[in-house]
Amino acid sequence: MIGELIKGLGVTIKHALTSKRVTIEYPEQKRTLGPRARWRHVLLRHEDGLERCIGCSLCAGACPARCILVEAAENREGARYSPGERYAKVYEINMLRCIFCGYCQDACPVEAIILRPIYEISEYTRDAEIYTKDMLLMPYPNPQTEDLGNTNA
Amino acid sequence: MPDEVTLTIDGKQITVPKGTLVIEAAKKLGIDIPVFCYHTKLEPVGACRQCLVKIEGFPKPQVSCSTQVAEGMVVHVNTPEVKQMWESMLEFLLINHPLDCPVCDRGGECPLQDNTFKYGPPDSRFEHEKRHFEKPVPLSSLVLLDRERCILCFRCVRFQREIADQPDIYVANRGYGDYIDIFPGKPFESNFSGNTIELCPVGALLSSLFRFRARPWEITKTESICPNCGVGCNITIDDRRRRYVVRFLARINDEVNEHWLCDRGRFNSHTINDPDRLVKPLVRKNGELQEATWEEALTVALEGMRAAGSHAGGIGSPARTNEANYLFQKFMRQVIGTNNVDYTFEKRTDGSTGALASAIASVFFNGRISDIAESDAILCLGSDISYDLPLLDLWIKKAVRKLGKNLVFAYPLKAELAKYARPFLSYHYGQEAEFTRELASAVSGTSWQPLAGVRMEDIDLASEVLKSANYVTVMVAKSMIESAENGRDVLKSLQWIADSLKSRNVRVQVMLLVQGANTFGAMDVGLLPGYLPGYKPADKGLTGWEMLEKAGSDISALWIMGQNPARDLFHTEAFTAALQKLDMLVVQDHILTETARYAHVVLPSSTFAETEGTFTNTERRIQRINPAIRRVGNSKADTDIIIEAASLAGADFNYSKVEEILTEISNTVPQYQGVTFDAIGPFGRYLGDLK
Ligand code: SF4
Ligand code: SF4
Ligand code: SF4
Ligand code: SF4
Ligand code: FES
Repeated sequence: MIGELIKGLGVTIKHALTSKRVTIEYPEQKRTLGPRARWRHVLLRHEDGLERCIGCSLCAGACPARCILVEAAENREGARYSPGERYAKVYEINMLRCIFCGYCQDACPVEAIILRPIYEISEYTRDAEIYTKDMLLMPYPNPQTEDLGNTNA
Repeated sequence: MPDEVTLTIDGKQITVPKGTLVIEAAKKLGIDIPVFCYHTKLEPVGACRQCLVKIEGFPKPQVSCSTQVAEGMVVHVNTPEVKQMWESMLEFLLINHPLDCPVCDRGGECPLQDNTFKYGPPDSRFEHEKRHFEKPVPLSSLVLLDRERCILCFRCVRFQREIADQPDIYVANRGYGDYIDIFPGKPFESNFSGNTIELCPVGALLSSLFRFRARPWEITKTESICPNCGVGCNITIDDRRRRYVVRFLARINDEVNEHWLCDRGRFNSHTINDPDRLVKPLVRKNGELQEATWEEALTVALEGMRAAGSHAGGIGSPARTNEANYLFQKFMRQVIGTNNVDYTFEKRTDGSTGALASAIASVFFNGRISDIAESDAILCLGSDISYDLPLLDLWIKKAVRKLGKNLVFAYPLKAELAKYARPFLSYHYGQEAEFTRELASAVSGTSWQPLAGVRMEDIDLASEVLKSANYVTVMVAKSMIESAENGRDVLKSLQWIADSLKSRNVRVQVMLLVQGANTFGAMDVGLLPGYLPGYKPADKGLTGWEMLEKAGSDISALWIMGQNPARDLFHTEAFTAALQKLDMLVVQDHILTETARYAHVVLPSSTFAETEGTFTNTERRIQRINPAIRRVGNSKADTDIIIEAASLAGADFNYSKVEEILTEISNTVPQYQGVTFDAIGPFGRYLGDLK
């Protein structure tokens, strides 16, 4: 019985000494993701800064997790957010319910929403997981990170 | 049979009445034909050409919506040739259509979208610039028009012309340049304008209140009843997330409102969504209304009301459910110990309530709305129907304009319906009794003198019209009986008219026109001074008007459920002064009304959109309302408030469901026998024929 124990430990030690390490020192070190990785959503803008989203709720209709809430309003003289008549006054995604399927991106008629490889979306409370429009919307004029600005999703 | 025609559609034989349209015959066989301009309630015009079919013997395709069947006709619908025609028609329509479905309110419930998906071309071949118009133009403060989306089916124009007879909109230009427009400087102010929005098969006509508020797939639908007048139109409450109401749509009920609603009913969702809805009970402390718990508020209310005892009074509401009004009168009578209960604070003449009660109890009022169009003559007394009960205005217009029936319209002012009347009898205000007696004398052939300001020959003409009919509908405003001086005589004359007509073998139906969605129900369930549920006589009590008049003397405490006397049209000052004289004023309402500002206790209650229960309309049809949205804050349903107050007072009000209250009503009120939620069903149950 002792012999078997030693034999087993031997295998463990052999692997520990010889195989390549698979864990990384997160968060100092970050894993490179596959080219099609899709996590947190971003709402994009046109070049002139207007929001692409027209508040049509098609994403919300397509979402199998029912985690998107859109409330639309009319663009008015002096308060224009998007081209055309309609914009999203409220745009919220419940990240706890999202399954990152990308249907929203697929449904969007104006390519306003995309899923980017941004996976750091842990929070301490449930409420903080409701991402609001100002969190989702791409900053303007200077997008902070390359990830947000890259539209070739 | 000479009046029937047999034809073949897609190889299937069918026999239909002569004059049937091909499309209706196909519908009977379950064969679907796409349409845009055709609507069962409008005259066919063949404007859109979508419904083309092939009929043997005709060299060219025919529009099935305006072609009548003929003996031996052979129709082909499901053939590649017809499908090709449908596809081409859709392609034509889409040439000028902006296809901005994502931002269009109709997107998701749009006949153009649906037909295109089903029968349309997969792609567009049109490479040129589409037509452009300003988006959207307001036709009125409620209706907007997006001309780019309009497919020129003319349903809107036809509705206004054929059904509402208020042709405020028209087709401008000709041919390719057609568009819908209003006349210069005259907005689309028809009181039925909202129906055109519902009729429009695309998103061209839009409601300014609903625009961008929700997409169809985000909406929950609840069947309910419009609470704004006595007709009780069937509606659907559309809400989002069970939180707020986005619109009301008409629900088809061919015995009440057909496909229509009036604008007052359709666009009246704002008080439900009012940001200032009451969310907590309020109690007056140190002269100020302050938030309190339910228990505290109800205890204070009960103490004040019970201290007053028989000097207390309760005023319920003609816009609250049967269940709420029933419990309210029971609570006042049994728990507070007062006979002063009423559903209104209108001034009524002495004895008129009793006379009306016995007429109702003897089923004198047995009229049915759908029979208005069946009768040959309509006698309408004392109501500006177009304003008071808008949907009945449409029924009368249909009877007169479409079916050629006669209207005798009696009203002091030249109201909208006067122009359809033959004759229009404009009696003097205050001489209702004299006038009806004159008319009754004329009908019965007794001699009489003109006293009420109506010409003798007009009255004679009216009586001729009534006597020569086979079936007469008599419609009389409740106010004519109750508020008019000698209203009792009005009722007697009416009975006289009905009897004389019946003795001439004229069929007569009489309808009592009430203004509240549940005025009839409130009376039926005993919220009447001097009458218990089912019009059983009880000890005398004060009317609402008298309670306010005697506030501070005979009446020291009042509980008002869902009414706002401090904003009464005619008596604001007197009522406000009266309310201030009370030792205890309890107000149960969903916002802080003018009346509630004078209250000692304010109890936040639900609106009809959060309530389960029943309304009884002007023809005495009992109909169900259902809760669409969640209760707001800590507000409660009227019935729950009363049950809680009663149990706090130690009374035995054990109801766990609203339906149990209805069961008690049906056991107490003879006319409601056997009425349950199930028996009422989705379209209501007419009670006039139940004894
Ligand atoms: S990724 Fe999928 S689950 Fe997440 S919001 Fe989009 S549609 Fe919904
Ligand atoms: S993100 Fe796209 S699909 Fe969603 S509301 Fe905006 S425009 Fe519509
Ligand atoms: S506005 Fe609508 S209902 Fe009126 S003609 Fe155009 S498409 Fe038809
Ligand atoms: S007619 Fe009366 S019941 Fe019908 S929609 Fe108008 S207000 Fe409501
Ligand atoms: S539906 Fe027949 S022509 Fe429009």
